[in-house]
This record gives sequence, structure tokens and C-alpha cells, in this order.
Amino acid sequence: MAILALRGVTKAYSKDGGAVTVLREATLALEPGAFVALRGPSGAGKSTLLWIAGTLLAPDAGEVELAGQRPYALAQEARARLRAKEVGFVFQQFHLVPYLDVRENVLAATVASGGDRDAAEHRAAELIERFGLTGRTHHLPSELSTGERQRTALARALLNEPRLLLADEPTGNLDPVQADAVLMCLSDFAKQGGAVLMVTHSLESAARAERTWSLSEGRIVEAVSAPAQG
Amino acid sequence: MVWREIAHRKLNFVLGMLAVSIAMASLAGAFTLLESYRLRTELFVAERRAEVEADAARMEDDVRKITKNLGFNVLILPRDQNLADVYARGFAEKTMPEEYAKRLANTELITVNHLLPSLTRKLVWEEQKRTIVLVGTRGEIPILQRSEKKPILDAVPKGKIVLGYELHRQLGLQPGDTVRLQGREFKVHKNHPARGNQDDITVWIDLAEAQDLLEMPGRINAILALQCNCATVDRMAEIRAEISKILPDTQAVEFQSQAVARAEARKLATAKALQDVERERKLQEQTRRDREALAAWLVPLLILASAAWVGLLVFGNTRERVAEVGVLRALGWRSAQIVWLFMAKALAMGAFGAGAGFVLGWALGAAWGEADLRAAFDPKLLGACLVLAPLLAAIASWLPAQRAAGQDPVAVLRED
Repeated sequence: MAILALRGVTKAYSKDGGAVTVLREATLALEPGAFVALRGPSGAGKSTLLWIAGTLLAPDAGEVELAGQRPYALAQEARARLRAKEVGFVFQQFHLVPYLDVRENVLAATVASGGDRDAAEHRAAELIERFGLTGRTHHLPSELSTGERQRTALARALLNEPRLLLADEPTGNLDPVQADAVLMCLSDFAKQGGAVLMVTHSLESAARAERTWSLSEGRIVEAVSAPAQG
Repeated sequence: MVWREIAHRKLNFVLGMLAVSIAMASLAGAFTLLESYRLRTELFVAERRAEVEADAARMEDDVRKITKNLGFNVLILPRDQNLADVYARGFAEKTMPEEYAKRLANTELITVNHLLPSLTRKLVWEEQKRTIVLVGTRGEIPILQRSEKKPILDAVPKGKIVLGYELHRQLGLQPGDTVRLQGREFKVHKNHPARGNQDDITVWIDLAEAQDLLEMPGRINAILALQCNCATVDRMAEIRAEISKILPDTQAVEFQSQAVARAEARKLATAKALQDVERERKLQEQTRRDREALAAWLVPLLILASAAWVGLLVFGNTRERVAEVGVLRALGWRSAQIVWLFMAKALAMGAFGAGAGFVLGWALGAAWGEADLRAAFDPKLLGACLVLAPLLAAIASWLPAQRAAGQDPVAVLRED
């Protein structure tokens, strides 16, 4: 069963008194273990698709199914719970909370899920160690390198053990070495049974994905198929 | 997370706390000042009242001592004698037995020092063709149970006559001269100086001779009791009670005494002083009411201004934290959790502001009200501040917090 399924999703924005349709009956399905890169020119609707998939933006039409539930049929609070439990976000700008240290930023995700605090602490320590941040546990984001910030954001995204990881240009601000480390993490996540949908402009990053799709006139088309690299 | 954010944006928190502190300081200060003022007024009135009462007690004691030493005079008259006639005529028309004077003297009458029985009549001095007042007097009657005292008035010896000023002046009589009165011969014993009253046309002779002359044997119409002393302030009532026990068919009136006037003056002085104290109390009460009226609009105004300021600060804080809130929403934080982020900060702002404001207001209020700091401390007021300030801050933050919680995370992420 697909972790994420979009069927005939349409989304339009109003602009200058008219409507600009960015997604036209977009359809996709992400099975466990899928690592998909989504490419397309700026304004093609890549981020919109990601937000719809992440239950942040309701489509105008079509159907979204996440972990067997229809998030947009749920009340806002229930949808937030579903998001906290099933979805992890990684952003190009990291979006760490500036006044929390690495450990606290990672643990911020557990507030949303309402999970067991001790278990969360334990998992946070594991993730911090796994991403090579042990020496930075009590450092603020302003004291970290960009790579460390992105790894912190990754640890935060993985804390609640989601089944879907949505990454929006996760390597956009990173040097090749740091980018490689992040892509390795995403790949590992997919290999462990999760599904990854990564928006990227970078061909190199896309090449690390199992499959690459592109958005053309609001529709998803399979662009290139490439074997996942470990 | 709330404490981390407070530590991260100290200025925002300090400004909010300052606003709450000012509001709570004004509240605590106003109440403490009013309470200090009330305590001071109570103390002042109690002190003044005690002072006046002590003065009154001292005056009462002084009066007792003074009047005890001075003594005063009482006129004992027949019970059926109309006092109006006595005042109009200058003497009593009715008579009573001379024996009454002896009875008084022979009892344990502790309040009277001297007893002078007399018989007085107005008559025409036939030999001189003029109206005179004839007074028969026998001098003092010795009082039983008393050590002998120097007589306050000398008796007129038998066969002698004492003349008032107008009589001896107009008749040219000198001590030692012989004069006839209603057919009897008397030798002038003494001439009185001018007194400017009825005494100037009065003739004094021995009581027995007067009774004989007026054909009223054994009768008198007054007993003058001189230098009456009592331990208590209400002496007249005490003397009346004593005399009425011994001579039931007589009446006693105060005669040429200033003691009553003095006592009245003392009472008036005390009443006046108490009135002054009461007036001062009312004045201070009025001042207190005026200050209460001022506080009644000033304090709520400051509280509202403070609430508005806290609301603005929280609103500014939500704008600063748009990206943070958007990402937290993306992570799955629910609206209530976002609202709590801001409300908890506002509650902390209110609680710290309440503590600081209370201490400031309490200290200033007590200092201004010149009250003891501990006496002016009101735990209920502290409790009210600790409840009111966080509540106020929470109410003021409610709308900005709701606005923050309702923001669209996509709008934030779109900025990337």
C-alpha cells in the first residue's frame, strides 16, 4: 500500500484578478522504500505539490491519501497530529528555532506528536550521534555550520519516525560533501522502508534518487529513471 | 522553550514586565497609600482623643482639688419657701425653727464647715423714718465632730448694732455711738464699708434680740452654710443629700459659688476639644475619599494602558516569530500549542511584573504614606496582584496569540 497517493490533484492560485493553475490532475504514489526526486523550472508547482503532500495546503480538486487516511477530510487539529506522526520536513533554509540548541531543536518535533518524552530524548540522542552532532548538542543554530544545521533539521524530521520524508531543496545551501551526507541520509531512510519525495533543481542530487519526476504544465511526468546510488 | 525564548528576546520580555510592573505598582501603591493613610488617621485620632481625655481627667482632678480648697456656700431655707420671692426680696419670708441649725451642727455633717442661722426682715426704722433690712445673727454654731476652727464671721454681741454703709454715712453714726431701733437702745459696734448692694441699708443685731424685736421667738428664715467641701465633683448633690437626710422640710441652694461655672467651663472645653478631634478625623477622612476617587480612575487607566502595551508587545513578538511559528505548524504543532507558547510567556510576564510591581508600589506607598513597611503589607493585595497581573497579560495576549496560531505555514515556507 502506498504511503502517499495523490490522484487528480489540481491547485490554482489567484493572481492579478485571474487564476494560475500550477497543478493539473497530478497523480503519484509513493510506496515504502521510494526515493523520488521532483524537478522542474521555478514556478512549476514543485513546492505546492510538496505542501499538498505534507497536508499543509488543501488541493482545489483531487484526492490525497497519507498512510491510509485522507488528511483533508480531517479537522485541522487531527490533520496536524497526522502530519506530526507520519511526515518529516526538510527545508532548504533549515528553519531551526534560533533560541534552541541542537538537542532542543530535534526534540521540538516531539511536542507536536505528544510522544513519550523519555523515549524521545533517547531517540534524539541516537539521531544526534548518527548525524555526527554529538559535540554540538548544546550549540545554538547560529553556532553551527550550514551542514550541521541541515543535519540537525534532518534529525528533527526523523525524530517521530515518520513514514514520509518531504525535502525541499535540502542540499541547496550545502557544499558537495555536506550535500552528499544529507542525500545519504535520505537514501538510508528510504532503504529502511520510508518514502522520500525530494524537490530539487540539482541534477546531481536528483541522480541520487531512485526515480526522478518532473512537472510539466502542472502534470507529473517521469523524466529520468536512475538507479539509487548508495 | 518558553524560557529559552524569553532569554533570547530579553528586551521584549523586560518591556512587557515593566508595563505590568507599572500597572501593579500603581495598584499596590494606591492601596498601600490609602491603607497607610487610614492607619495614620486612626492613630492620630486615637492619640488626640487619649490626649483630650487625659487633659479632661487632669482638669477634673484639678477642679476637684481647687474647689475642695476653696469651698463654696449653701443657703438652707424652709422647704415651702418660693425661691423666686427670695431672689426678688433678698431674703426668705417663710421661717423655720432655730433648732434646725443646732440639729445640723450636732450631726456628722462632714461637708459643711460653718453654720450661720439668721432671721431677716425688711421694716421701717421708726426712729429714723427709713426702710432698712434687719438681720438677726448669732454667729457661728460649733459643729460636732470637728476640730475647732477659726470663726469665719464674728457674732454681733447683745445690745450692739452693726450698720451698713449708707446708714452710718447718712446718719453720721460711728462705733461707740448710741442709737435707738424700734424703741430699744443699741450701741454701734461696727460700720461696714460700701458693698454696693442691700448690705448698705442693712442693720445686724443679735439673733435673740431680733426675734424678740420682731416677735418671732425661736424662729429663723435661713441657715447659711459656708465653705462646704466635698471630694467629688458633683458636690451640690452630695450636700443636698446630706442636708435632706437631717432636715427633710428644708431646701438647699448654692449661694455665691463659682464651682458650678468652673465645672461647666471644663466640660465645655473637653467637648470642644473632642469636636476638634472629630473635625480633624472628618477632614482626614475626606482627604482619604478624595485620594480613593483619584485612584479609582487612575489605577484602572494605568492597568488598561499596561494591558494595551502588553498586547502590542505580544503582537510584535508574534510578527518576529512568524517563521518559527510557520515551521512549528509544519512540524505538526497544533493551534493550542502555538497559543500556549505566547500565553505562557505572557503569564510569566504578568507574574514577574506583579511581584516587582507589588514590591515597588508597597515600598513607595508606605514611604509616601509615612507608614511602617510591615504594617502596610497586605497579603491579600499581593495575592490580588499575583492573580490580576498574569490574567491581565493573558487577556491582552489572547488575540495576538490566536492570530499567530492561525497563520498559514505555507505563507512562511513560500518565502524560501
